[in-house]
Amino acid sequence: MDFALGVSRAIDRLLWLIAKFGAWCAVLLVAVVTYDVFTRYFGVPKVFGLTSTMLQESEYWLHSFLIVLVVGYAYTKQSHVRIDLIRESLSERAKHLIEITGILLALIPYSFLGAWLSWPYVVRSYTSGEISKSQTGLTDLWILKSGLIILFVLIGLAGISQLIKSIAGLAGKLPENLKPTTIVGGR
Amino acid sequence: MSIVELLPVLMFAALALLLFTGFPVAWVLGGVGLAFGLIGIAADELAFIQFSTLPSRIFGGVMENLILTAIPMFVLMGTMLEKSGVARDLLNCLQVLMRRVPGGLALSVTIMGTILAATTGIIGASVIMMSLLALPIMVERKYSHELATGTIAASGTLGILIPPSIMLVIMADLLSRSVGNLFVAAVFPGLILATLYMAYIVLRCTLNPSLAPPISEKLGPQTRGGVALMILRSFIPPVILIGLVLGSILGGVATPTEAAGVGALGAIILGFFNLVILPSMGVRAFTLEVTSSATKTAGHSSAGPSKKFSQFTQTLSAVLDSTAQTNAMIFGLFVGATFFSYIFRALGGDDLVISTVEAMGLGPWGLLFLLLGLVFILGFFFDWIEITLIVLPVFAPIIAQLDFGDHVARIDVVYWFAVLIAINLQTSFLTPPFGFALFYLKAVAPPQVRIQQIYRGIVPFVLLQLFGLGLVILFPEIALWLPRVLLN
Repeated sequence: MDFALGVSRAIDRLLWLIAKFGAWCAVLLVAVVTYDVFTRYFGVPKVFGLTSTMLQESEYWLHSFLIVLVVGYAYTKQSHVRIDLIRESLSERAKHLIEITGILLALIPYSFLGAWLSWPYVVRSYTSGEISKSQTGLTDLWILKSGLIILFVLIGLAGISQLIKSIAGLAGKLPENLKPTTIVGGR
Repeated sequence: MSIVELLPVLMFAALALLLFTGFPVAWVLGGVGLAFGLIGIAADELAFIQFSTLPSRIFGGVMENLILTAIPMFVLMGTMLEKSGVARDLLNCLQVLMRRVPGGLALSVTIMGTILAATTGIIGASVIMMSLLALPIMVERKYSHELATGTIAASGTLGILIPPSIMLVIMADLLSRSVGNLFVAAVFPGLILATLYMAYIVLRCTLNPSLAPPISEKLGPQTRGGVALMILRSFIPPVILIGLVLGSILGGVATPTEAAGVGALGAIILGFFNLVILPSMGVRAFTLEVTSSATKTAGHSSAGPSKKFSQFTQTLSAVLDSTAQTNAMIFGLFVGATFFSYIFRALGGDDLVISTVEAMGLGPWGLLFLLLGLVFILGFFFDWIEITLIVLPVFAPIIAQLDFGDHVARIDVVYWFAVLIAINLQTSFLTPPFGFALFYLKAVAPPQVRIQQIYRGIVPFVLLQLFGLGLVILFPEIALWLPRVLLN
């Protein structure tokens, strides 16, 4: 069990590190939007031959990475919405059982299917050298699309980590300091 | 009717049931979608090839979507204003300015709710923030617990209606309408509700001053110069920021995404001023804080410039982490809901809903009230995000078809409907015994505030809400006039 909890801790650490990069995408996003706005409204030419289309496309690129790099991490931080109405009155044991069942029957199949379906989708984009629909937009769309694979793989990893913690919790071997991020629900 | 035709119904029932296990909504949506997809394939209702278009749906609906990029930036703006103390200072300032008005503390909460309009995302979070900031002070000043909690719950939920509202961004996206137009349409209904609250508070407190004992005149700056400085420091900057963001959207100068970006940058700059520049200049914020919640906050310490700067970077880092998590929560759900709705539709769910509704023969008004009633009940249990993402796509095709003759022009129906849903949803969050916002308020309220007091206190506000809802139903121009004047 100690080894398994070590794995869980390692996963959490990795997800945290990846999410850091994701969170900074928000700063870049704000920077790109304001740069675009100021150059456009004040008629200042953009550097390096950038166009507004390119900037706007990079905005949703950044937002996409802000999403896909953080969704898994958010689960290990218990930031995903739950309906607490009945859950609040449940015992810890019941909460762990729900978590284990949910991860095995819903989360892991979901993340597996998502990653598995996304793979050919990304490969197709890469081999065809797909570029943005608009002429002046960004190229290499496969990089953005591969965000889908990242999203589902990270959800799966987070699920494995939470699964280990809940199994440990059921066996009564979950350290106190991990309890808040394992079964404490709510927003 | 065969069991195969009923699959969409079973799918919704399974979702409803499993949500109450308390497992995260995003994963339940994904799991139920997947399970019914497989059942559909086994029953020959679905071809496997239909599964493989899922990535392109998620890509097109969520990733390659410029409108939705406004959401993390609005969240960033709201979180920064909250964590850097700008929001707290604004509330304190309003409280001092209102110290002579009957019910001044309550009024300042409503004004604050209107100005900051809860850009922090979900209702749970905004009600908690408002309760933590305002409730301890009102309880300490011997405010009636009913009045205090009613005001906080109603003002804290007003944010889903008053722009910039994240819910309106998502609604506009799902209904394929312009976010800017929907924002403008929501302005007057939101202001009318805020005005109704304030009129009620002043009236009650004038008739019965014991509900809201006035704050001592000795609190706050005593000189004219002191008051002016306080306004300059705590009131003007955030109001200008919000005014710029809203004004540029309402004036049609900027798209909501652009306004959100500039607003987020502005909030970061304000935070920098509040945490580094002003304390270095020795300008202190005035606080009304009660002793129990008198936390040592940044900006009040006498630390050196480098310490202050590191306080700012720590705050920024915490804001980014929190923003990223809220955004991930919203879009994790968005992806799950996309998956769920796609399978639901592929199993014939849309057709089933439309044919059932047609068989009921309700006409447009009947349908409108049916949908409002349904959303109202769902609002007892779910936050707006689940309701908007799961229920709205199912009914979107019906809404677009509604024809109210001369009452509302065909092209405006969707905007009117969205505003009605927003008011209705807010009312639902406030209605006892299941009012969703009330539980959050109770969770962070001081122990002497009892749930019965919260229930009693919210009743007048629910009545005001219903009055406001009735007004917008009877007079659609309240919502539709401003967009026509400003944007057409």
